[in-house]
Amino acid sequence: MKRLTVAVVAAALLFALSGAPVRSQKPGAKPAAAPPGNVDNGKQLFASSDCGTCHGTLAKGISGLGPQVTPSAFAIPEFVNYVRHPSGTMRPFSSQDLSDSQLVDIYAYLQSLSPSSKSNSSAVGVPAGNAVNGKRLYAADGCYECHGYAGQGGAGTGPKVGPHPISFSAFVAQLRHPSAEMPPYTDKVVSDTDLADIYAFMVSLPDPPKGESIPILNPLLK
Amino acid sequence: MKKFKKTLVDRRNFLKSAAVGGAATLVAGTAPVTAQPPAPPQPAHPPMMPVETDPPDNVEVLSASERAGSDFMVDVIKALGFEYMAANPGSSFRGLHESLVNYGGNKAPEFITCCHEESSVGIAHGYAAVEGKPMLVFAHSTVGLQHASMAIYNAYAGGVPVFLILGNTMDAVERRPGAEWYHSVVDAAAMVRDFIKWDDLPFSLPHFAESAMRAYKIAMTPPRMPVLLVADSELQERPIPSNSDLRIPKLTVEQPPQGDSGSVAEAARLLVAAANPVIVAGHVTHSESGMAQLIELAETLQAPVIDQGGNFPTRHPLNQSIRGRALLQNADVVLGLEVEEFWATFNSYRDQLYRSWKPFGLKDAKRISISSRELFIKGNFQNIQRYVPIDLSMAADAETTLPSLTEAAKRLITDDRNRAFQDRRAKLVSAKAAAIEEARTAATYGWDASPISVARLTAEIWEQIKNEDWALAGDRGGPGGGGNFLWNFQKRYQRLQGGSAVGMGFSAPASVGAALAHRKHGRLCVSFQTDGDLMYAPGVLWTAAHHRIPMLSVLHNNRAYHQEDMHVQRMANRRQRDVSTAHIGTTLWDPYLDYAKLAQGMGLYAEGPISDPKDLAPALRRAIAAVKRGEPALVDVVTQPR
Repeated sequence: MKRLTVAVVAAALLFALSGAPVRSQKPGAKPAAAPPGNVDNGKQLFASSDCGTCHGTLAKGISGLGPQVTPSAFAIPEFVNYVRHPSGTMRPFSSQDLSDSQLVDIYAYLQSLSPSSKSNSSAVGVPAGNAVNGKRLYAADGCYECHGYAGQGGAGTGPKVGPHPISFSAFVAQLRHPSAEMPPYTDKVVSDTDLADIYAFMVSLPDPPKGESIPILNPLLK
Repeated sequence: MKKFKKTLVDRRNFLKSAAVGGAATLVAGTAPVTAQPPAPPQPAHPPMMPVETDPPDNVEVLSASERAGSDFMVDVIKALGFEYMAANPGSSFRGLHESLVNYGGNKAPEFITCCHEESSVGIAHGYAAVEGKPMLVFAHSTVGLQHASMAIYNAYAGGVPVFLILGNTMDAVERRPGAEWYHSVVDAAAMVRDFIKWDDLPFSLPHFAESAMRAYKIAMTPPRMPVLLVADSELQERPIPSNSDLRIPKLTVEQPPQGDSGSVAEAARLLVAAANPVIVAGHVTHSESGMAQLIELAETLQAPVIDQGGNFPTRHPLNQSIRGRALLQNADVVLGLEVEEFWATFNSYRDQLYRSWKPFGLKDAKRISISSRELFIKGNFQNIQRYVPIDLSMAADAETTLPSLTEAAKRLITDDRNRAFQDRRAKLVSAKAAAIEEARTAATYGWDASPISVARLTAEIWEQIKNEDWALAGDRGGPGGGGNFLWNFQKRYQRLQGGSAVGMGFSAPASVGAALAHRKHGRLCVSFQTDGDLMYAPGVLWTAAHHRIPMLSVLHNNRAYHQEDMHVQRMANRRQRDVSTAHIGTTLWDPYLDYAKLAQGMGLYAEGPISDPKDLAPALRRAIAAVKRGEPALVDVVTQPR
């Protein structure tokens, strides 16, 4: 039964891990219903299994290494199958590396990171924040140091954090108990209220121009 | 007074006994090694063995037929083919200085005036990184060498040859009272012996000639590194006896060590049989042909190359540097060529309260290393990186070994393997295209931001130089690093070769040295210069202006020692203290530095600070126009942190 459950959820996630043609996630795509699995354990496994090495600490992808893998468009069985037998450059994970139930936990964690958007930033569980104060805090508390003043991310320092940040719960979890290289922000350093404001600032960041609309970036594709 | 005259005469008599034959036979070019003068009866410690005789009357000037010892030293220097000599003036080499500019005509080498010895050596570093041969540096005894020491360490760690001559006054009774005592030392080279490859203290002019040839040979034999000769001030300043028969030995060039045939064959077997081989290229190439040889090996195997040292064209489909970690994760054979951080190629590291690390990749992956670094390792300075087990390790020069490795691989490739190779290439091409598309999308974030994003700055510079014969010099986090997919590097000289000890203050002088090397080739030299690095010894800008060294210096001005800013914040995070104070001691605020005025004050064309990305392109165009007129130019750009 457990194996059957595992066989039912998603794999789009790791399809992208591979270096095979990337199936892009639709930004507004609605994630599947909350999957079984333990999110906290999944987060720990995601870090300890080095998934973040290629896909980023928050599974948002790393340019040149691995694509964004949250939320997954795959069902759990496809997801598990792909992890066991990946295409492209992703390394395979055997059941000795990660059990099926552990993969379900990772899957649950990835689904919990579902990107938010301006339209859903007021969703249940996301406190109203002050974006103006959030911008001030983003600088004062040193978020810009690794992620840039515009949230664009920095080479070798930290990923893009906005617009369309990860979900608020995942954001809080990452700051309080970070994976990879990010230093921890406990509530003694940044209050919950401040986090809400910073999050509101990240949500408020404008969308960038399309790559096609920037002539000096176009020759890259030739 | 009587005693003083006796001392002078003692020196003259010593020289007559220490050198045989006539100085007229000085050899400006090279001469057969066998043409050595007859062994003169030299004292064991010449400066310390005065002879009591009366002085002649005219001991203060050289006669028309006499030459100074430093004239012969300049003959030796010219024989080694140095184009330039960089120095901040110092009395301990005043004899050499005068000989260089008068006797030597200030040509080959030409005196490059520097404001700091760290700049002198940094310039020589940048020059050698482009030209592939050493530049000469003079330094002033204790004070000059200590100023130069960090730059020497950079060259040592980076595997770059630099040829130093240090003035010093060995004979205590000859020293002028006061400053010269502070500027004299018993064992001068001891100050830097931990991070140079070889040094000597010649006791005679023939000794100087032989040691100069030996020093050059050692500096140029892989692994290439700095060497140092101490030129005693009295040896420089004393006249050469008229009957001296000084000769310059022929320079012997050592052939670099090559991997043994058995190991090369085994490496080829592993690479041809591999499903997912990866080539990691450190500082491999020391010639343009080296790049072609590396391309040939990669294409023979259709293997991806992760280029850490500027050895491989960025837009070649097999340059997969942008996908490095993903490839290594799945590699079954990894070939490391002159890789300095091989441990980090197979391990991830986490800098948290308790530092941790763990291996990644396939457990049974085979590791092959070809590195000349294994041939010269010292114990004190820890630039050796962490120990990593290697399955097949060759202590040899990688570039020299490449042709035999490629030929060995070609002999093993069957039709089946070739089909597999072509399939692999197709996948790599597709994956790289996807990675480039992702990188382009990433570059759009913060595109119009102020401060200006590094991606925007990199792309704007490229737009202005892409149709020129360009070369990149100094670079920290710019197009030679994380943004290298934005620039189309095709030639070896387009990137600064060799590494450094990652010490601040390196990039500015190295850029000037690189631009000096590029000048005769007519290349547009661009430096991606960071602000903190420039402020270590900004006087090097004056050197560029004084010597009309054309160079576009684009200042990546994030107004901080940003790496340290992040480190301090990390400590506060761990200790649950105020993170907003991390800027104290790590930022360059209040007042902001006006780098344009700084550069203008040193004679450069300069603009800035530029904060609006829309102002970038016009400013760069104007600065490039100045560079094309033969001037150095600086554009100060206020940037995002990274």
